[in-house]
Amino acid sequence: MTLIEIANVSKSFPTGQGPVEALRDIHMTIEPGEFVCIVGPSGCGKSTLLNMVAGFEQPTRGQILLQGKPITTVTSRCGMVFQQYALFPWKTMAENIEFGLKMQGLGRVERRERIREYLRLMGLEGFEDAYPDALSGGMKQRAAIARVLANDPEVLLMDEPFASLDAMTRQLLQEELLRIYDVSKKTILFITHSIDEALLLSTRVCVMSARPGRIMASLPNTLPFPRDASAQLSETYLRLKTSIWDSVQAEVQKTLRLKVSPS
Amino acid sequence: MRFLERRLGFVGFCSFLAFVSVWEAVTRGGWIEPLFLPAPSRVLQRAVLMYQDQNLVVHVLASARRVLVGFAIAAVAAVPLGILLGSSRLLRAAVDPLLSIIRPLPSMSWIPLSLLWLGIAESQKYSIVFMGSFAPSVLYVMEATRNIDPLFVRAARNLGASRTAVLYEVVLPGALPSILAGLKVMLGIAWTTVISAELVAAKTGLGFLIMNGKEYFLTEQVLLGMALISATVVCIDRTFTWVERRLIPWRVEATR
Ligand SMILES: Nc1ncnc2c1ncn2[C@@H]1O[C@H](COP(=O)(O)OP(=O)(O)OP(=O)(O)O)[C@@H](O)[C@H]1O
Ligand SMILES: [Mg+2]
Repeated sequence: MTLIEIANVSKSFPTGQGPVEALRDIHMTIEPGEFVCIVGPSGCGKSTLLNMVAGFEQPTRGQILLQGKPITTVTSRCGMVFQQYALFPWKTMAENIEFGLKMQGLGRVERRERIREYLRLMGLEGFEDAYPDALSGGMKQRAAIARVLANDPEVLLMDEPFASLDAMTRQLLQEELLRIYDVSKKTILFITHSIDEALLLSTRVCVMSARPGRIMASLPNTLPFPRDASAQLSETYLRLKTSIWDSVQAEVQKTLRLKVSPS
Repeated sequence: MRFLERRLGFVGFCSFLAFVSVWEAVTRGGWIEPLFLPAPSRVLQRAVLMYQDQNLVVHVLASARRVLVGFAIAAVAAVPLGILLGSSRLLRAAVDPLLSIIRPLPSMSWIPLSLLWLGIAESQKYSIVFMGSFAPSVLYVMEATRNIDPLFVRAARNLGASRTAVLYEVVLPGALPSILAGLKVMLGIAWTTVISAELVAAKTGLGFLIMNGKEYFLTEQVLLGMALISATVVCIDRTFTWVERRLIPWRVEATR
């Protein structure tokens, strides 16, 4: 059964200068176990799309279905990992991971066990009593991922989660995400600016057009697992990258023209 | 770091000592009439004398109790109200006009009414402190609540928190550092409030001590009262900072 169906969704925001159309007629389905990466030029509505899947915002037209039922409010079944981590600074790492479990009403013993499990999974042992502000960005994002995973959501939504990390940490976390994807078999919807990142991680890449965002291409990523940086040397990789790049470039140029033109 | 702090503390102590010494020298030398400005040693003498009468402690405690009780009631009422106002636009619209009427009124302007309603009793002092610190505290808490990063609220909701759970799991702890900072300022203001109330109508307290000293031309008692206000405020401020550190351990750790 299809896990997520984005059915003819459009979204516009009312502003002082009239409505801004962010997304137009998005149609897209995500099957269980897929790792879908969305790439597209800046401002094309990627975050808006993800926010609607999370239930933070409602589509102007169309609807988004999770296992056949429309998403009408914020739901913990779609766990979100934010670019700015969004860890609660007043809670320790362990307490942050515990948060969703507490909200679910899990007992103390079971909570403690799960915290330990996810601390181990994300390599955070020894940092359970540290406050987020005392730790590096990489550590914080690990904790944020652990916090969402501990809640056992149906889908993992990730909005450029590694964009503010340094290159080395980013690569490390990409590899860890692949490992987690492998062991947890979670469905992941991942937004990125980087075609390389999309190709390294995904089982499918969706390319979005400039605003109003539409899905322009949906390419299965046939690179074999397990993947690492050496995958970038294969011929398949180059072919995929070229075809994605071509469509993205056309769109980026369109946005640039829009910005430059005096009208 | 610790070492540097101690050195700086020593520098501060020296400058205080120098100030007192110059003051002592100037008054002893007879350049200034003792009625206008008695020597610090005279002030100290007065302190010892009043301490032996057991009067001094009574006055300090009287003022401190009035401040703390009045302020505690104001804070206990202001924090939940401010959080609710900060998180609900509807409530804000309803209460805002009332707050804007009460806020500009100086606490002194409440003294006649409070005397009329409550007499010269202790509750009248509490009410003055309360009126002086309640409305501004509500506004502080409201601002602190509104300044919370909405990302935290989103994250909490996404992890399954209900709207009520967001209030005490996110809004309260998230706003706590600014709430405490605001309350600290308000506590200082509460002190000016209580002194003004005591200057007008009281039989005890540091404000009374000052007024009483003035009436009997005991300038050293006036100065003693003033010095004690400073000392008590410093003590309470230190205590507040200590409590603050325990309430927001994540801030302490991050700045270390
Ligand atoms: N609340 C809002 N009100 C008005 N306009 C909005 C709002 N949110 C987004 N937009 C507009 O909708 C468009 C899409 O925004 P969105 O943040 O989804 O883009 P994005 O693809 O995530 O961009 P980026 O790659 O820079 O993160 C943008 O032009 C933005 O200005
Ligand atoms: Mg975005």
